[in-house]
Amino acid sequence: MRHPGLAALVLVVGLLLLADALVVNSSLAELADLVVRAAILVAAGAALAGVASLALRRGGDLWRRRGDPVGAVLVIGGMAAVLVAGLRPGGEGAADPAVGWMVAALIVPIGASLFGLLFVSTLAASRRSVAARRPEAYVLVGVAMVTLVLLLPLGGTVGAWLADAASWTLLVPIGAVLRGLLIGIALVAAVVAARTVLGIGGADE
Amino acid sequence: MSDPGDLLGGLIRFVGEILGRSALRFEIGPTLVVLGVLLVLLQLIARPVSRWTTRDTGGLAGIGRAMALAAEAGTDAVVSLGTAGLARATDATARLQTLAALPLLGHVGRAAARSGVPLRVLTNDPFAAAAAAATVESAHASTATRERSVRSRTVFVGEGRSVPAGLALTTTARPAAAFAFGSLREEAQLHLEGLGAGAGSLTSGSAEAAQSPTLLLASPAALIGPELYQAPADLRADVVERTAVLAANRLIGLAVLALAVGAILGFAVGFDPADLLGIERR
Amino acid sequence: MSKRALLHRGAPLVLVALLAVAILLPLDDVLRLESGDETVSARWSDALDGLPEESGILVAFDADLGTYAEIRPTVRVLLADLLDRGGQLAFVSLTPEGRALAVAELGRLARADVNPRRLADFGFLPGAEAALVQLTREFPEPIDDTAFGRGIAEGGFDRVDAILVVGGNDLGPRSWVEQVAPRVDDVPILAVAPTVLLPELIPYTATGQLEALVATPRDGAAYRASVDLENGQRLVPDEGPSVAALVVGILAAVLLLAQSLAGPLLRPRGAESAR
Repeated sequence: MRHPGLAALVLVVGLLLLADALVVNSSLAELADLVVRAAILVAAGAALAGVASLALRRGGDLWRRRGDPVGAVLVIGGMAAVLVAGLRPGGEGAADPAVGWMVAALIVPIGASLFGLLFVSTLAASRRSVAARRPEAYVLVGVAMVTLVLLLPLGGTVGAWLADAASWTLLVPIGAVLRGLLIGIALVAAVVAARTVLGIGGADE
Repeated sequence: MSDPGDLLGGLIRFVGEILGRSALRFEIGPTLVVLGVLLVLLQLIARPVSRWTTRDTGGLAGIGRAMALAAEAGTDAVVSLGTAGLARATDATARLQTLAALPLLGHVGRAAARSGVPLRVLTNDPFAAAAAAATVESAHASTATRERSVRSRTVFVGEGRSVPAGLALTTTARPAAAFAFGSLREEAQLHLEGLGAGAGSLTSGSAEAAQSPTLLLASPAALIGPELYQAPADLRADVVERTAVLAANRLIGLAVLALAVGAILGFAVGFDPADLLGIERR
Repeated sequence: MSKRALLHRGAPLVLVALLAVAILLPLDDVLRLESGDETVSARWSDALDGLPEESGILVAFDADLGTYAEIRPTVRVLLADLLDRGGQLAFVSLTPEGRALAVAELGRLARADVNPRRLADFGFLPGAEAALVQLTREFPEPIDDTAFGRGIAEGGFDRVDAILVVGGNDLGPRSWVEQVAPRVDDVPILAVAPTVLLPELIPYTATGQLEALVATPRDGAAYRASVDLENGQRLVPDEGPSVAALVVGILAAVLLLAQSLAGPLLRPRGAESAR
């Protein structure tokens, strides 16, 4: 059962922020400003707590020799390298050249390369779905094939026709489906958010 | 000594001054739309509607089979709450999906508790981990299986929300049944691949529109778009859950009506509904 | 090893080899990355032309590590274009990844000897949407002490002529339209975002809530081709992606998908169980 004090706090804060979003009033803005600053503090604290929790968990994995020791060493080593580079005496924090090098030479290429894995994994997932003979897979893969052909960056008259067709496909059929999804999601999410703000119903009981 | 009439008059003047110094931030149209959502929801709550048709999207009502597989295999069931968390540096619509996933976690938790299957919940945010732990504990309490709760655990993997983090969040162990509910973005594909590797069943759900194809391809049972928010209404007899879906359905009906009428007026007489909302069309 | 196994092992290597060859092939005359539709680049140019001289641009840098490679050439040309037009850039980030990439870009601009008085850095702001709302009320102090930065810290959005959102991460153009646009008057929002965000951003462009949007590699290439940089050319070392490699990747994907579709369609359901 939700604590009544917590429910009341959620209701008051939620209605205050909702009113500030709809109405321009200086007194209301000051109250809302107070709440927003508190929310920022909570978010900053949560971010620090997340980092500390990650370090503690990976450190605990190493200490107790459980889980993935290589991953734990890499995570803790990476965190230590960035913290030492940025916070050492004479360092420039996030703008320190050493931190910048680690971001540009290590983190960005690794992140981009792993993102590139999606090309392979999406194709593999498509093949598995089709092999399982799921109707939606046939539709998705067929449409994906047609869209990919339309996206071929060719020059000349053929390329111009393909580009026009790709634009039409994006704006009309694909755009229509996605707009429907977005409108449905937005309306349902608005109702769920209103329930949360008004303290109606618990998370799970 | 002021009498009650003076006090009341003073209060009314004070409220009037405040209202006089106020102005609407948006045009009247968008303001009414925002208030309309609240009014429709409140109206339904005031008069709960009992007629309900269960659709069982995602096949979550048949979760017993997945738990039977897990019990037979002697492994656990894994539930991922997505990668948005509750207090991460991400937008509110993503974090709301983590909240929406908690009732589904509760449903899976109750099924797991009854079947004696240990549950492992994966999160990447300490606040979400706390909420998940409370939900699992509540599931064991409601099924009178508190003695089994020690076997279930919530795992916090805090690498973040990028593609490699989505992969890191999954486990190398092979659960018999895997579930992923919550916000999943570009990491969705690898995240679901990691969860589903070797799993006897995989069910996923996310309200990220752009990831709908990924969910449909990667998992046999998927909740896409608004279904993530609607699914709890099918799983519980809670009137409040169903009221929310009914309210949303009415709003969607109104939106469809507005789009249809606007389109007809636009084609027939050249009327542009955007003028009503003060939108300058480019 | 069977032929099938050999094919499975060799196919990725063949693809990598083809990609390497494609990157080296001079196929610029045959292939064309720029979209034939000039609407996007024209709209973008109109938006930039509408800015005043020495405009103050708030650059909300919240790109994503995975998708930044897609928009990086466009972002770099855009920053160079804005500097060429006399603009001053103030950087702020609301996500840690975005902040890391912003620092890298600021470092690159510093190494290219961009006048530091035309840049301001407001760092990373925690709090997600709360930080956005707080920004509309009060700017933090800039990390570097420049007159431009101090001016924005004191005057807030009154000193900002446009907001440029480099999206890809969680707090992107949509969050700025939702939280900032209703609270500040007449500050246009321009956005560069990866293709994955395009579906949710198109409606905002149609309604004018986003003044201009570049969200596909082809539109980005069209914009880059339309820009005539003067001093800013030295800030743009990237030539953009290899179009030939893109074609190879697309064709490989189409062939694989076609092969996966052909199998179940040509093979009756019973034949699978018989095998």
